[in-house]
Amino acid sequence: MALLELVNLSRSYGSFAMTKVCLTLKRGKILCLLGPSGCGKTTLLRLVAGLEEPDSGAVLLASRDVTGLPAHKRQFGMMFQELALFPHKSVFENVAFGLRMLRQSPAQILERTEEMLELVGLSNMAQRDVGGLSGGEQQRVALARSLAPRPKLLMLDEPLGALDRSLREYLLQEIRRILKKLEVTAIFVTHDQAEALTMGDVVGVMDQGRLIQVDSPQDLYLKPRHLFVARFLGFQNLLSGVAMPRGGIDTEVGKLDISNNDLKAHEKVTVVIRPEIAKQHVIGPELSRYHKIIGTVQHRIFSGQQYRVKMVIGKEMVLAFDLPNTEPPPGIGEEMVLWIDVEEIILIREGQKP
Amino acid sequence: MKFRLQTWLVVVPLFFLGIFYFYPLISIFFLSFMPEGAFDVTKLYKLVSTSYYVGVLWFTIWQAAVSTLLTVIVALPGAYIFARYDFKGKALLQNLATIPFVLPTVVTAAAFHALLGPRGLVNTILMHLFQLETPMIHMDQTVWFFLMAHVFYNYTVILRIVGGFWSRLPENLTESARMLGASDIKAFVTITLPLLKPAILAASLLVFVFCFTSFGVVLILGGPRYATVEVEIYRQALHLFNLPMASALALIQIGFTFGLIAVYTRLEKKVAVSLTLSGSQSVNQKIQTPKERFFVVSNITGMAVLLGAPLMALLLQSVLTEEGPSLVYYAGLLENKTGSILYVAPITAIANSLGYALGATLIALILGWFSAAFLVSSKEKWALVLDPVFMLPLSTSAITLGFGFVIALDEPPLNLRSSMFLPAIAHAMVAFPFVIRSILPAWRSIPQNLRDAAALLGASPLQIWARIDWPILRRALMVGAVFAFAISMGEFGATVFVVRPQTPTMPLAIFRYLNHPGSLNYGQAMAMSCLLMITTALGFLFLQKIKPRYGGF
Repeated sequence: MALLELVNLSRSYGSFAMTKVCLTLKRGKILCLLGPSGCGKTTLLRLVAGLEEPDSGAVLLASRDVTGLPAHKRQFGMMFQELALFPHKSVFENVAFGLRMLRQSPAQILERTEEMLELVGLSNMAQRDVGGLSGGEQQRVALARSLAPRPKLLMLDEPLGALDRSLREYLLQEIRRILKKLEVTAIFVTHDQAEALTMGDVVGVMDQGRLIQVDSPQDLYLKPRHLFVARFLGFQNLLSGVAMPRGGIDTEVGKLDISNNDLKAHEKVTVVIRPEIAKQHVIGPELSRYHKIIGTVQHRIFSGQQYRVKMVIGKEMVLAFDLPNTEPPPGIGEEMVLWIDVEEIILIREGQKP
Repeated sequence: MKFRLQTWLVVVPLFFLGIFYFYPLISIFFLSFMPEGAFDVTKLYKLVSTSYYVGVLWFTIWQAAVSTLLTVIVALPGAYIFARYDFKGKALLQNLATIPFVLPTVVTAAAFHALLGPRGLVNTILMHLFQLETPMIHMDQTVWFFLMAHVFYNYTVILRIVGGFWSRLPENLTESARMLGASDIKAFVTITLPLLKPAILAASLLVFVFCFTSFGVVLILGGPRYATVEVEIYRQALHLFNLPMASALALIQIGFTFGLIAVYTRLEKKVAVSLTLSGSQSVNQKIQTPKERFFVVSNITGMAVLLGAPLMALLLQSVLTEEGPSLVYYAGLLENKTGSILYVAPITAIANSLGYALGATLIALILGWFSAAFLVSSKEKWALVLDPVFMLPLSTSAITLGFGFVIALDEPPLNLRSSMFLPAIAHAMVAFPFVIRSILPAWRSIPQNLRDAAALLGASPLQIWARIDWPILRRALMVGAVFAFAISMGEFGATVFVVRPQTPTMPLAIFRYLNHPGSLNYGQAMAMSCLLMITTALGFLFLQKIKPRYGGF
């Protein structure tokens, strides 16, 4: 059942406007809000948290309207981008803060705080000053602190922003493991698409104050429905195409044999070719599924798992592909033939621009 | 070391400090411990153990504590809105709020007289409204009168120090607390207040020191019934000629201020350290809800009334005569009436003030320049020792300094008592630490590689100095000059000791006018206070305009 429901949530200030955001989140699921900075994801988070009030719309928690409820009565947890650890309190007192606010008994507080510190692996640092901890340790304290009072919903606002890459990847998995273990319902805000896809059970993409697509990570990646989403996921091979009356899409790289049943004749579409769907060789029976393109290699980089190549087709059309490292592609300036799996090609209709 | 001369010039300020700071201070010690030439502590002990002495000390501490508490309570909401909200005219308002702090104490006293004194604006209006014969508000010669004045000029200390610290406290700390179930009040008490504590303590201590050493407003607004240590030194020395008593009081004053300043310096460092933990981004939110708007607007209104009303009253009272608005009080400043309490035309006092201020500025600039040059170019070890020494005059009250001048410099080997230079020198002593603090950060901010780069491009040492050092230092020097000039113009504490009756300065003239009844005297006090206020305010606003970006004052 839906734990959290957002109904037509709107908020504007200055030149920024967040318009009519609707969303439902099931109990125990992690929702990732993904978008560039300034898209309104933090604002949305603050509205859910009750740190700001919406101009209109409602926040429902288990079907109960909590829109007017102040932040400290919602029993939500939040992990801030800058962590916001209380600098004048020890690790233990930071984690225990929420429990003290619930007026739990000292015994309960001690037990729960130790349990939380154990969970994040900081049992031996309870009495330390938070100022003396490393970045990763501070992150764990912040997580333990927000989880200690058993929040109904946990919100994480780019909590890994300040850390270096390898630590980030490690902590990301840690956080997901802990959240899943405790069956916490959570909203995780990030501008990093890899982080969002790894972390979320559901990913919502935001742009200019609107929630434009909410899907599972797989569906979002394989079937982006908006040009913005495709661009934000990092897809570079975007071609303009036109639906042909007798089926297929006409593009700059030739006619693609794709079913276009739900398109009108001559309707304009954007064709997205993901970089990993091209092959250098195709065997007989599969041939009908593949579209052949020929071009000149402009750029070729070996990056370990794969070759990243850019090829020029015709005069100025440049497409980028990731090819398996098993077979080196032709050298720069040489001709290359690639086969593209047409069933993996994504069509985005015009007018679905965000 | 390239500029040997630059290093040796430090002898000049050290020589000056020796004669005009340490010598007077040592004289106070001698007079306290050896009143009749021989070491004799019993006399000192007798003085110190009287209930009178204890009473003065107790009253001084009490009034400083109450003033500090009142100031913190009144200014804290203001500090909050300045720290958290962004609104139109904020910078201007902050600058205007600082004006009371830089005003000479006699002007502050005159302004409060103009507002709430027996002849003040409020009483005049009330008497008109209710057809009264006598004033309705009796603030004059009460403790509350000068406590209010203390709140008035220390407001900005809390506003700046606490507000500045507060604005760097990340807002998400309180949000964090709220998310964890703390109400607004609970979040303030458990998170914000403990974090603000060092800043509040440091600011309070500074206010306490200012109130502890408060002289002018207590003397003028409190009347003869109240005496802080400062006022008592003045009375014992100049009215009762009880120099040993004055000396014993000065001794306690020196001990207290040095102790308090030492504690403050430590606290200030703590404030600077604890800030590094917080994020650098300062949250400046727009005013959004009607509740916030009400809070901000009512606060600014309160601030405007507290800080603006006395100054407006002063301006009004200087042009409102019994016959209606006129400039007669200003015109009167040019006349020399026979039997005048000043002995000379008021315009002469203005001329005296200007003369002393020019002299003091010149001396302070030279001393400050030479000191800064030494601190910049010498080894760190020496700078570490001498920097605090140069700052010593800052932590010595002007009264103590003036009193020291009187007992040290009026007899051979140095009889300067009647010298025209003495007031200028006294003022320069008070002002030159400010000059150092204006020049030094600028000088230190010039990166050595700038000079190296110029040298590699073919500039001679002289050219480097002219093209790199001088253009940067020129501004700082100007700032120091304005500081010194304004300080000298408004200086009162040391001036009452070192100035001869026939050469009064503006603050002395105002003091005498306020002390003598009569509407003309009162009006002239207002007019002259206005001139002094405008001079100081303009100087301050000019400083804000040309203020260098790097620290300092």
